[in-house]
Amino acid sequence: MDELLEQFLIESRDLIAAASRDFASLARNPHGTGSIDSAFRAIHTLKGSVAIFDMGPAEQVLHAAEDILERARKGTAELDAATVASLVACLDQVDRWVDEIEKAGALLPQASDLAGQLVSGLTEASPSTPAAGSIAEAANETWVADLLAREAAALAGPNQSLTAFRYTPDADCFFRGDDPLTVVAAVPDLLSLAILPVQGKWPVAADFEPFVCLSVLEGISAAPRDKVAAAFRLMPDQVAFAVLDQSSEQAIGQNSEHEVRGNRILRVDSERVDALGDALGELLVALNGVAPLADHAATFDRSLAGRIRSVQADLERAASDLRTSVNAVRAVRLEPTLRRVPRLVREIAESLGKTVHFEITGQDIEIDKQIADGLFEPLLHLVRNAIDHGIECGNEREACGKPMVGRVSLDFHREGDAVLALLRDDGAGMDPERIRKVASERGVLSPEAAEALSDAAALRLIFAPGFSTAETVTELSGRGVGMNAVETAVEALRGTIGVESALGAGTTITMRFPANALTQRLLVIEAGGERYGISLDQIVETVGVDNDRLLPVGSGFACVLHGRTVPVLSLAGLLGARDRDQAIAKLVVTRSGGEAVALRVDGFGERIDTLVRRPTGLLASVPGVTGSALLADGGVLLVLDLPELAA
Amino acid sequence: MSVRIEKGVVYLEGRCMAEDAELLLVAIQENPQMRVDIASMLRAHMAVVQVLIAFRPTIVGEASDKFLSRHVFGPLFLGDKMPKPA
Amino acid sequence: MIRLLVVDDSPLMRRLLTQIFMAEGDFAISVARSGAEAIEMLTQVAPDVVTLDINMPGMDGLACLDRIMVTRPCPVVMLSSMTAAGADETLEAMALGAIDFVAKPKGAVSLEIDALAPELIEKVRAAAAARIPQTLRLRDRVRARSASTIKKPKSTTSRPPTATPIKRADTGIVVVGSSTGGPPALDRLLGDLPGDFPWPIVVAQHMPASFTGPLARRLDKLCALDVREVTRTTPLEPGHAYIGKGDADLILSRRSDTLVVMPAPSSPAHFWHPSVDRLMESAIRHVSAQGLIGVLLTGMGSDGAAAMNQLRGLGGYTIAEAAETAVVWGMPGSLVALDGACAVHPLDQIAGALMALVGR
Repeated sequence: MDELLEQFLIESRDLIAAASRDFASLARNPHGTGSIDSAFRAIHTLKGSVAIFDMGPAEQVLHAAEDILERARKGTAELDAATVASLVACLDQVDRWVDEIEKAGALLPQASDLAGQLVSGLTEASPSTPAAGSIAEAANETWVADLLAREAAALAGPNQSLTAFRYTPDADCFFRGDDPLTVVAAVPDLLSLAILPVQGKWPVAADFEPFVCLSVLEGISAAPRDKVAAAFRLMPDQVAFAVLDQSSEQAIGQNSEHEVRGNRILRVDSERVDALGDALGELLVALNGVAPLADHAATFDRSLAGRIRSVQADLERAASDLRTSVNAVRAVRLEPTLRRVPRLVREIAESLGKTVHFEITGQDIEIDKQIADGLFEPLLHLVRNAIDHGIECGNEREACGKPMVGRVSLDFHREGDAVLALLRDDGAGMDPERIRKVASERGVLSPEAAEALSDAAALRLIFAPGFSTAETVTELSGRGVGMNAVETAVEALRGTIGVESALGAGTTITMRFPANALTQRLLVIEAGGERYGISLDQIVETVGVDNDRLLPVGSGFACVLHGRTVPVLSLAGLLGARDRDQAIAKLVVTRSGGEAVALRVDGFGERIDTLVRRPTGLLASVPGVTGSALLADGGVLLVLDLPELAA
Repeated sequence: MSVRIEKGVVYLEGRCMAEDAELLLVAIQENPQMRVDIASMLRAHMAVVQVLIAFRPTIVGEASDKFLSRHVFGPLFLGDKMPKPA
Repeated sequence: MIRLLVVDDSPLMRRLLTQIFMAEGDFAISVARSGAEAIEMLTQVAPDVVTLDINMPGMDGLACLDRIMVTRPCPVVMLSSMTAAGADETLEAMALGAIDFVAKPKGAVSLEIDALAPELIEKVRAAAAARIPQTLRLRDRVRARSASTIKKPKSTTSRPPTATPIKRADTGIVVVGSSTGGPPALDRLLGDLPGDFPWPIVVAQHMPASFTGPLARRLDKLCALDVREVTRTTPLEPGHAYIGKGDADLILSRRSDTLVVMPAPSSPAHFWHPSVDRLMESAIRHVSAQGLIGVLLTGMGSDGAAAMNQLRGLGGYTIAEAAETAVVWGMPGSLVALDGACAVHPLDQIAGALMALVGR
């Protein structure tokens, strides 16, 4: 692809995303001056870049949008909800045009008609009453400006790029033994620090909880953002950053940071990052050679051995820091993955004749790139399902006393090492009884087995192969493979998916993904005389059962676990070796295609936290192997993909 | 215990831990004119610093810890950056 | 040799538990795969101590415990889960006569059990040496099992309609410390006090954080007193008992002339939390010794003995639970050994002693 075009596609989508964020915030508060300014800048830049390509209609629409924002900025016109809605429609269309340019290299013929309609819609919607004075932005969006005003003296130094941070510790953090001051004391090149009441003012003595953290800590450092962020690596969700560009005397807010920081962001081919990870693995192995060297040295020179060991400790510390950094490099914000979702929601809802209010939170959360890339497809499918099957038609909703407009929300949270995605709708919910019936009608399981399931387990049937609850097959989501494909996609990302639903009140789909895919927690097991690694994410449980509890079924074995019959496969057998005879069968239980499957192994070993490399060369063609890991002794451990082996 | 109260002065001494915040708070609440001597203070937990910043008692002495004296107690003396007490 | 009966439905857990205790060298271990099997084995094995999984198919841990206490009472340590539901079941198990419990970490990945080994061994050893609780009377068992349904006989009418926070020196505070065997002892002690008991009661019961909320709710249902967990600074009122939040300490302080209790980050100077010593020390700082009564109930170790001994030295009143009712006579025994107890009473007489002391 033409390099210029490639650059344009990346940049324009960044700008569209930035502007949609600002529009979303304007939809809540049409007077937010910060968002008006920021939207104006994004639209203005975007207009400049579409002019380079043959996108006349886009330029025309953006020009009109820019005009309106310009007037709102100067206070000669006020934005209202209708105008913001028209601006969103314009931006959505420009987004589609960018897609067309990418696909076909040119706009479709009807583009100029569309542009005309959008521009007239925009001018009609836009009132020309003068602004009655602008309302200040929410406090959390203006912290940078406040900080700049407060710290003017500290900023008067030499012209350099500074990093501002705002750290809001958990209220309960003292109980966990944390001291936020210690955290801040570790910020390099700290120029200035302010400790402010998180509520805006300090409580009076009688209401002052001395063991609750009531403070927020704001400061400025001369160190680059990544160095400052390193001090807060244990609490990424409690801190916001802004890079202060001294030359223009302007602060770039934390939300729009990547838009204007521009060339501070390096776009790196993901293969190079993988190469970095592999090199790190080699380094760790090489490091393992140092300890024996020290031992050898100790036989003739103890002080030399001591020095080697101290160098070894330094190297190990550096390698561990490097691993953290590589993890951080692989982490990307979810936002680019999600930026197309709101527009697609609008399109899906429109095509179904429904009105849906959609909200996303937590887009700033970072996740491993591989997962961010794989997330979009399953997510889109779920969103479609929510709107198509979840949200009822307007009059149906009204009849049940619900607001006409359905609500769908997508929230991301960080939970320890995992990222949680919650997709909620306030639609009709799912009826476990109906799901049981449909599942048994479609032969997913017997009516008796369906009856025996708890309601929660019955809901999970939607993930079973060949299941679809829709009575009419709609254009969008009634393809029957639906939820099963979603679960498979989620599991391929080492994620899990769950569903909760209340009839009449809505459905929540919960997905959980590992935040760092780079290092994995593995259980070492033995089978057929070899040691293998299995990702802990894939293990439901490990159990030992008496051999006589394994029942021959057909050509294989099964075993009853927690009242359910689970097929038992021999891992050694699957790998072409033989089981060791033991009185107690050791089983690793995993899920394959939504079903529990037990794999018999010869023994359980230690658990390790390690870098798993993608299989290369010969290994790449071996089914059931996800990669290899290096052991502390320099040996190589093959990492198995249990669900694939068991399938 | 790193909080000692004598004749209208609270002495914060050594490493002041989170638990010291409550004693300090009670002392300041009972006598808002209470002065706080930090000359022998080596470290201070956020919980303690938070009480000092919220109630702004008169501070005597200088913290020996560089970070505290520059970024926490320096501003308290200057008194221009922190919001006024409740 | 200590005869141990392990009751668990999970083969892996049975194997792990067997390994853990086998390694100790002085345990003779038998295993039962279900509650029913455990009951059958009881007479034949004659265990000194039983570990009992609370979640089992068929006869669950509670039902099994109930049967053990009737058939052949012996010390039982429950293996429970660190969840709110697990906490309720565990407290019920304590009320039914279990000596102690070990909470399995969240997620119940059985692999994590190794990390619990030291705590488990300590508790099982202590339980093996503990006094076997007297077979609870049927009435008590019914009461214990139906705690969730009993409507508590709140005597709201007998209390002054406007409960005003206590002024300093107006009246006093009862400080209660307890540990192993504590939850059922608190059931009894607080249950025996009337809803208008004039002195606020502050309780430090050693427990994980997820258990103290359910404990307070349970006691609130069973007792005429208002019982609550202390999650923030709370002014003390008569007719109330305050349970310290687990995994943190509980301290007493004041705001102007109002006495308050509040949770505090657990102090590394103390081993058990909420620390009875720390609670009592804070009480001595803010309340005159004459206005304090210390009660030290059953529990391993010696937490609370030092501070309560200090209270007696200052002229305050202290009660130690008698060895004949304490499941483990560690904490009260230490207080007696220091000569810090003004009186030693069996559990069922402590409430009466308190009533007499506060002039009711």
